Amino acid sequence: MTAPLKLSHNELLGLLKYMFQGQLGHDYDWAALSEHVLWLETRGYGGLDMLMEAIAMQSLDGFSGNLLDTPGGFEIDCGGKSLIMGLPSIIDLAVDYLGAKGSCVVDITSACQLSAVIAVEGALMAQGICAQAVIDMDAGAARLLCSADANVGVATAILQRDHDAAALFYDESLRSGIAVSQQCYDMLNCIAARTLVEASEASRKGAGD
Amino acid sequence: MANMLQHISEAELSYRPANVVMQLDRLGTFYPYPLSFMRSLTRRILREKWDIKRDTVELSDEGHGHVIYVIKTPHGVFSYVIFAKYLDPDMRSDRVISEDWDMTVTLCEGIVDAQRLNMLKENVPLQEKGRVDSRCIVLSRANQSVRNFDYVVGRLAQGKQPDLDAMAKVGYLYRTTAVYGSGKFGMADWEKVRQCYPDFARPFAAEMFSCFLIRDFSLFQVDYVAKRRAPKTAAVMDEAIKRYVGIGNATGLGMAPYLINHPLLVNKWIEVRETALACVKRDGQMDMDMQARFRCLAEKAVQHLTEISTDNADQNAINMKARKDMCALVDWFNTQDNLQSWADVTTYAETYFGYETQELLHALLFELFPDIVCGFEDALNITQTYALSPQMPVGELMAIIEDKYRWALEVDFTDESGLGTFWYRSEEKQEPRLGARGHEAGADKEMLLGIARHVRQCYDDLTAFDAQSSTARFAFEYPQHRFIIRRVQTMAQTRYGEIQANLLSRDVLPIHLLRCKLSFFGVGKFDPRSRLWVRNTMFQGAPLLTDIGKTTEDNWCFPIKPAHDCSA
Repeated sequence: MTAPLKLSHNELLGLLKYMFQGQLGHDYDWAALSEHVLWLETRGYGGLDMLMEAIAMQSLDGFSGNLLDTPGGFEIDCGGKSLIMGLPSIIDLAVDYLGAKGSCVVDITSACQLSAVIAVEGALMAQGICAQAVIDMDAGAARLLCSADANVGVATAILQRDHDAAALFYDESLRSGIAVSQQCYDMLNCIAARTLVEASEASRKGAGD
Repeated sequence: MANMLQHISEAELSYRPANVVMQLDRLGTFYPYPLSFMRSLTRRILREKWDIKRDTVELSDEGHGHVIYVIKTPHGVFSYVIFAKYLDPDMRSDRVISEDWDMTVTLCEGIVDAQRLNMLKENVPLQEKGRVDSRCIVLSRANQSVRNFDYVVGRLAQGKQPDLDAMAKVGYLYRTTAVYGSGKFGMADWEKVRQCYPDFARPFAAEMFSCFLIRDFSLFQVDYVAKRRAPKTAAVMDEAIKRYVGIGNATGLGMAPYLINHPLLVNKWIEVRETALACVKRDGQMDMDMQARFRCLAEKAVQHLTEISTDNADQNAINMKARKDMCALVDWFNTQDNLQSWADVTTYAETYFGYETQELLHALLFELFPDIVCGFEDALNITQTYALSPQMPVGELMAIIEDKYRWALEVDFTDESGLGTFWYRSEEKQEPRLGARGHEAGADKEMLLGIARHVRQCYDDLTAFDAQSSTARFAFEYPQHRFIIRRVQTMAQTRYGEIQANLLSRDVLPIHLLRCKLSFFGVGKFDPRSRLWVRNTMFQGAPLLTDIGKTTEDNWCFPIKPAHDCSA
């Protein structure tokens, strides 16, 4: 087996952006999606494994989640797609709702890769919001309890429990690089290459010759 | 100091407005100034007396082999490893797509042992096709200016010094063709550099240091080769001439997207520069000594412009006009006896001269008051976060666009000239290219550099959305606009915001972007080779390694041939 490559954060982030762009075109905020995958990977939550699985399951092809308002928050039906695709929207909507109401219940349904919900916890906690996810893998659903008030009892998130380990994982990845298998690296590059234009006389002129 | 800018209000300082400063054709007239990165770096090296030694020299008589510098700084020990080789002249090219070079280099943490040297020897000469590790900070390469290199070695071997006029024509022995940092090819991330290597924790400090040592090696190599060619007669190059030798650079389109993709950073660099300018205009003394020094600096700048050698007719015309206008400005200055402040001089320049002369004048003022300007030395770093404000009502978002992005809404995208250009990445080293829309393939894969168009498209969709609804709801319905919304919301909070240019225009001149960024690097002597790439010179006039410990002077702006000194 080939030894894993060590990629810098910036290198992996750039590769992810082009991979998402190659996969999705300009229809999504692929820079934000890439940041979430990088966050998951550099905190020890296997962002790249989730991504590879999503690619294999063809669940990165698009996201047209159905949004429903509920009495205490909202529900997002992910239509069987990877939760990774819905992360930016879920965070936006939760922050929006919390700003108005102070607390929020987010129901995520018909999603795969529900463990990516930890990235929502992380993003909300970074904004001073307490968040706790309860995942029902069998049902393909998760419920996220969020509160702008630290004293309402939802501050028992996985991320908070793992805080020290996640920080150590991050530091090590920054110091030594992120281990990426050759297979994963090749797969990401293969998709990212869709954004490249074939070299030609015209393209060489486009560089200034 | 970093937070200081946030507390400076419009009432305290007279800032130039964004719609004046952020025009592309104005940014394309910026000159280097004391906070340019190579100037800051050399001040630091001299002030902190970095110990930089050629620890290992294993070179053939032709100067091929490897050299390892060991650098001891206040916070660490680093190695700079150079691999120099014979290069077939047919393989020598400034193009980023070239595959072989006269010299390849890396700056890395710690001392390099034999095992590590082997790893570097196997990878550094391959550049983009190799892999290094997170102990490496910079990877770069350079090619000889063969004509100049051979000329200088020949003269030294004869026991003579190179002719200054000949040196003025080119001004360097080697040209860098790429300088990589920030985590490329497995190297240390900027975040790691910032945390672990404080000596290089300013923008592009490590990259500039690499160029500084390439210059030193080029000077060492010509002496070394001349000595081996003619052991009995060879001379060593005079130090004054060595200082006049810089390091050449060829910069192309790769640098342009960087400025568009890092608007917070660009805003910060511009804001610091404009703050320094406003402080100089408000606080700079205008006594007789300063007036005399201004005249001397202006004379030096005119001489510098005269010595620039370029085949580019447009650049020659620009330089000639700047010289003529600066002389006229000094003539006017000499007739005035009621000037109250330097702001009177800048106002005159704004009234009677173009952007080039206005910015040349500003460059002179920066040099007149280094104590004011260098107070902002640590204010150039920023953590870039482009966060969405999900609660913002759609109506407020529209109002922000109408206010801060009016320049973008004024672009006519129904006219085909407004969309005549597209940017894409070629499979050749994945470098950016320009294409003519409708005439060349690749528009379906274009890069997201048309900020004005994306703002326009987002605005059009916003107008059809409920103004009371939140940005989060809008972004959910229109995910394709999310990236531009968070950019707009973020940049709206800054003083200078975006570069106000439509990069998709058929007539876009990316060379303005290149010169803007290069001015912040500290690069001079622009020699455009087309509208898309430029040759230039770095570190010309800068101190040598032998100057460390002897001086802390920072007076090498507007380098001119030796024997003209107005530092006193």
